[in-house]
Amino acid sequence: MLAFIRGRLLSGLLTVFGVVVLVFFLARLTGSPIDLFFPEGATPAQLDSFSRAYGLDRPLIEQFWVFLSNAVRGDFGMSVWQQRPALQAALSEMPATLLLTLIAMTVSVVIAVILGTVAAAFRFRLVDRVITIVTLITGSIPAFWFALVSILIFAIVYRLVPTSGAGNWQSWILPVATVSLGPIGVLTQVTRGAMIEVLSSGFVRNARARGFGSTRILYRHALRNAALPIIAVAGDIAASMVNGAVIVSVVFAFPGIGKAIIGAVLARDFPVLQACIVVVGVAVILLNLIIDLIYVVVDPRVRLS
Amino acid sequence: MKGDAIMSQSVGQPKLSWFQRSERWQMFTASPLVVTSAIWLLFIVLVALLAPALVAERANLQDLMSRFYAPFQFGKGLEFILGGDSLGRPILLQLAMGAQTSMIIAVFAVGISSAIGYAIGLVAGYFGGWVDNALLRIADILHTIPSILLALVVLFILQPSVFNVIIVLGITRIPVYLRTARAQTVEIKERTFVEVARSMGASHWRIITQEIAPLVFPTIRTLAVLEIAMVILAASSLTFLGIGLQRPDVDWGMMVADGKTYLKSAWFVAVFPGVVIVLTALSASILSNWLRAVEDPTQNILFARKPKARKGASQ
Amino acid sequence: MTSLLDISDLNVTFETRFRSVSAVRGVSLSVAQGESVALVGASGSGKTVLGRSILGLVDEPGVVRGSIIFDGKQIVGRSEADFRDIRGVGVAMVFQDALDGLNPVYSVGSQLSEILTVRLGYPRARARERAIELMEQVGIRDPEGRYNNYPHQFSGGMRQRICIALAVGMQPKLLIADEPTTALDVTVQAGILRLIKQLQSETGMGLIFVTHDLAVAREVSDRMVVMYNGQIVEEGATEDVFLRPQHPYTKALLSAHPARARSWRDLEPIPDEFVTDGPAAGAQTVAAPAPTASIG
Repeated sequence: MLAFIRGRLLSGLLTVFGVVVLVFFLARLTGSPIDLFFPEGATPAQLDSFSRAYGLDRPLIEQFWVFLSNAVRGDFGMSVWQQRPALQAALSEMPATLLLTLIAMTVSVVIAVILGTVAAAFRFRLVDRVITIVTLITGSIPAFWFALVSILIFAIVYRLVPTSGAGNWQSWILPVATVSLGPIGVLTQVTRGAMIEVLSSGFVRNARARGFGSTRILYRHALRNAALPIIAVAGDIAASMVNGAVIVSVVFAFPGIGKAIIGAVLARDFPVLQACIVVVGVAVILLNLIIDLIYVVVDPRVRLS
Repeated sequence: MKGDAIMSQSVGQPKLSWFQRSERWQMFTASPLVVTSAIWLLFIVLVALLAPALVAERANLQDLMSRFYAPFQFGKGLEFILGGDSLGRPILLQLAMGAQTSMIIAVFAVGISSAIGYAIGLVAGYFGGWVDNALLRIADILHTIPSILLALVVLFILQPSVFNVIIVLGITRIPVYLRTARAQTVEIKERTFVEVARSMGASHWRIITQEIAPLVFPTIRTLAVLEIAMVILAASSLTFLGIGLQRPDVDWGMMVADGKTYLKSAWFVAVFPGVVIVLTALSASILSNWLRAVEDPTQNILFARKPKARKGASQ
Repeated sequence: MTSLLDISDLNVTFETRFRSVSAVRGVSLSVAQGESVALVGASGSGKTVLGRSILGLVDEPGVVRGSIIFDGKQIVGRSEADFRDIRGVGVAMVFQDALDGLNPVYSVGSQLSEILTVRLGYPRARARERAIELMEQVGIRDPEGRYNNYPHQFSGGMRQRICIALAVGMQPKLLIADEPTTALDVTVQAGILRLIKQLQSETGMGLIFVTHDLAVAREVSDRMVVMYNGQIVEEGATEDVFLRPQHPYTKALLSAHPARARSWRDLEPIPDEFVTDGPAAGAQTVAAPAPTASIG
């Protein structure tokens, strides 16, 4: 198992490296990266002198090395707008997003497992079809529109929750719902598929043949096996939840990495934008690592090989 | 076709016409859901093709008198049936213009990403080795960074335009096809008939294009239809956030963004475009679901019919 | 000897939208306490469905009609709850696929204990002890040490032994073994057969051994029942059936066995009319089975 962890860590590091490389080359997409770092309206002479100050006239390899060594030390330059290091600007917003993602992931998994199991147990009957159609519909609703409509209904018309901000716990309800919307649909389908497969497997049939009751079979025998693909997909979804967090930031004026990103885009603060990508990338990789570990704990076949 | 085989077992039946015999067509027409979805999509495509030529001027006409004109009234004619937006433009016609943008983005982005992902996936799966590893690694990196974030950055660097949105979405969605095509290729290449082809001297190119690709194609096709829905959603998210497109290009997501600030007073400006997005994405999803059901009957959830109990079994 | 299992005019059909398929047609069979019966037939003969119907494991779209009396009580038409009372403790089944038949995420020991605690009400410690006893009984070496091992850590033969342990652990009165050795190496097969016979003689339970392999049937059973196309075509003491087969299908089955042939030309394939699948094919009249052995 230790070897497995080591392997995953290495793989994760490699991916982080890849992300950093990507970021490096993204900045040089247009050939003139210095434009990105400075607000429009700077004179060519200014741009030129800053180019040299940033070392942008050095050979690419050297630039990359400098970038890399800075990145490893956490130095992504200074934010253009805020008077602090870009990395700090990015990191300060992470906790809110992480919390949001964790809550949303938990809510999504719980609801999806319940719905998916019901759908699998009553396969092809009305309940199953209704659940499937509902998941199709939720999968077709854009998060930003859902957010707006839910604000309209629950905050404006019915005044149950605040329209924005993160003041009290009620203000978290709609943001969590928005971020969970897509994942619930996907996870329900995955759960349904996994449960159907497990329920038709040999050992479930054997459990029935031995006279165990359906509740026991469902929870103890089936679910633990079906959990495996569910966990795997949950890892895949981690990245898309950050997407949701960005939308939520904008629509609900909610704190989080979304706020930092949009702010950076509007203020043309490229260093912060760079830092945000790397921070989010690392967070997603870490999340995936944790999920891999959970997977290993649940599945003894991986654990012991 | 399966349907044919089963039907023809009943001897002495009257001759059935093509569509009575075709199980596929039966499944299609039997489900009002699928038919409706197909009709809606065709309708949108039609609008996308015709609208700009017909209503472009009237759609972009700003008229302060019509500002926030409430929907479902007939006072200003049919074009204002869905109301007027913040600049007095008729929402219905704006939606029509947006259809073109959305369709162009969807079709091209899906086309690019599916073609490239399909091709690379086939090659990676077939040849394996370090090429495969490297490609998987790249797909992994693209997958790790949330797509909106990546798109945001790229569109920040390049200028907002339909073309750039297509490029960004086209590239970020390649991994989906790549993984699927690759996984299937790996599984297929182990099968005996591939070995047979090799032993008869078939070249790699021939094996990939003649033997493996056709088998992978249906999955990719079904995926592509689903991806149309996903791309429409992704593109509208980007335009909603304000990056990716600028006026006079209009797109449904952008329309929702326009209405965001007027939620209290003129809810319809933000809501109607979203409804259209949902309907279009849903139609594509349903069609994709149907395609999957046709390919693999075991996946048939929405369109399966419960077997009726037959009387008169042996006693 | 009292009759443990009495099947009378059993019919099982699978009814789908397009047509209905008869898997078991008018089968009547009896098994006495302590008796071992081999149910022989090719794939599609209905032997597996017959076994499953005794446990009530025939699911939609299958319909079971007729009479199955186990231990004095009628089984056909009972509810799922009623079946649960019989399953495991009355009738137990061992299936063909041993790896898929064991839950991969739980240890072998815990799966054995579970049966004992849940179905027989044993306390935890006692269940563990008994589980280890059972593992030893079926020939797992070092049962105490292997209690916490997982199914994938055992070889195919050992997994099947564990499945057998799971089946006999509840001390059933009747054991149905559905092709338990088909998926195993021939070398391992002998050990499993020996084990089953040994357990049967030790516990005195009835045994229905379903197989398509005549050699296996001969080794394991006192009585043999030959099935073809959902019906019983021949029945009798095993040796009798082997030496003096009455029904053409039985004769064909026996002569198709490579061991009996002196040259490859002697191997006669079973003619098409015997082999085709499908409801209407092979509609020859079936000769009444020759009762050569007394029942009970």
